[in-house]
Amino acid sequence: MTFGSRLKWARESAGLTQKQLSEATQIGESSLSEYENDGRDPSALQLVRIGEVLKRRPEFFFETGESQQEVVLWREKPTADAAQIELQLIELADQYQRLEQCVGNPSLVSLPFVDAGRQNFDYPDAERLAHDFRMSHSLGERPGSSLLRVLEEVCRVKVFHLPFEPTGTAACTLDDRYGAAILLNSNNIRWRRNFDLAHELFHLLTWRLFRAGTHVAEASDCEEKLAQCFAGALLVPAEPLKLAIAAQRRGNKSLDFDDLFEIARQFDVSVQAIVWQMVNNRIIDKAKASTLLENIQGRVNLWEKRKDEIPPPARPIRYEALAREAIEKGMIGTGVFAKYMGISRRAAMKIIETEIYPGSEYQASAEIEIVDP
Amino acid sequence: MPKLKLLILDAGVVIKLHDWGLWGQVIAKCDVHLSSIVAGRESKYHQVDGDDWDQDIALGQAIQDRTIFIFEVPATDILAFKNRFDANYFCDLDDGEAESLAYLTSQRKLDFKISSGDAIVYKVLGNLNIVDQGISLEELLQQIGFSRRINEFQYTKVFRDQMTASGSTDRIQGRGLSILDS
Repeated sequence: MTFGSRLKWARESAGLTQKQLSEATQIGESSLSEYENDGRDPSALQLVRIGEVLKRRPEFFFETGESQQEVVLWREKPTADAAQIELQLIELADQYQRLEQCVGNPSLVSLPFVDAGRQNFDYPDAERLAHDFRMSHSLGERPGSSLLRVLEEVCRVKVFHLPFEPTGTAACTLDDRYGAAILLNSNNIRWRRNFDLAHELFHLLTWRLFRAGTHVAEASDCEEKLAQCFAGALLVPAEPLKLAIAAQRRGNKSLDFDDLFEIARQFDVSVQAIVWQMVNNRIIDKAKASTLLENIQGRVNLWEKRKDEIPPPARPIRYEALAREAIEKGMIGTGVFAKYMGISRRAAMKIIETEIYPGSEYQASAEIEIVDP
Repeated sequence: MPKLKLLILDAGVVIKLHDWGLWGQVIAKCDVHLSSIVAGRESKYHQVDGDDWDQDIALGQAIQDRTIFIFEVPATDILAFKNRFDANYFCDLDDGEAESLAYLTSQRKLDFKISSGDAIVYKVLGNLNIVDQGISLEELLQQIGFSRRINEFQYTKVFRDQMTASGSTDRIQGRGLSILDS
């Protein structure tokens, strides 16, 4: 692909017209048209502006070979700016991987992927996959409390939080360049995000199985139901659920909303997730469960409007730690630090001056020798 | 006494000099050159957004009056400069820093000095064996007659020396430059 065709491809991938890109970059439409037709090249400054809007590094436009469209899988695409959110996720994942390569752990991803050639993947397979993942990653009886950390630290999945609408959706992507990334909705309450995390994990684990063919960027209804089944089985294992119910019943024949909420809180999932896992484990009747969920919807909504939780930061703590290490070791400059952290250059300068370099005089004593066994 | 021929590299130096109220005096005593990206983009990064900066940096008049000079490097030359290094030697180079370093090295501006507050710049100078072309903000101010105490480590001579030495060590040990370049 030529420079011009890559530029056009990137603009269209971002869902922008030439007019919109012109407005965003303050570069004339006729100039952009010339660049896309390889009539002439933009200046370095113009290329930086274009790259900033299209969320591509300047180098991208000079790469040879065909451009590969990254696949971002949504449960439900956001109502506005879906293309921009996708680009933001890809850019963050790309930056994270660059930091890992320079100062962290360069291995891309460590997940037990389901083979592409597997036939007839069904609900028992999804439940088995959840069970195996929980056991192999030592998630314990309350997996919701440790899943995020295990995915980030052990499986090297890059998890980001951004606000978008509708709230009941999340996304994931897998690519040879940046590995696996999940986008959660920071507007959601934690137990909803937990379920979304497990749901997106299913899509990553089965990526090679389901993301082949013509509709790679869309999940079928069947695949979505399998993901829900996997998420429920992963976060609310059958035996711990039964024990929790027994403890909560205290000899009573039924559970009320407060009991259900207490069990859901223990597993760090929503009340609905608990109720459906009770159905799946034949603890309650499906029709009665549907009626119950209708009846308690109002109380659930009230609970979920609670704003006693600080929204999670967009970038993981590890990402921030790597960015700080990278600037200290001369792997990035202030401008890149600001861009990676999504802050102003001025704010970046302040962090560097007051938090990163003041510790430099302690560097000499901040090393400890490891005794070999 | 001839003016100090100087290339102020990153936007951080421009912002810092404005912060200290020394910008006007520095451009009066030095031939200040800025990359088109630093002048047109990066020094404007600080727009007021809840942080403590409430001045705007307007370089337009100084550029028009030719009290500072703007240079441009073709994007392909900037890319060629970056490609001289191993992919993982630096994680990501600021576009303005890349343009400045490409200008310095591709056109062999041997009498220019680069000032930055970023370790990455001095490491690159050390690795390219052009250690004398770096100048810390502390040294710069001393040379033009301002004896200001610098509290920010990254603008001191000690910092520049340490980072340049780190780049020189990398060069000696064969790290950083791609095989073709080294």
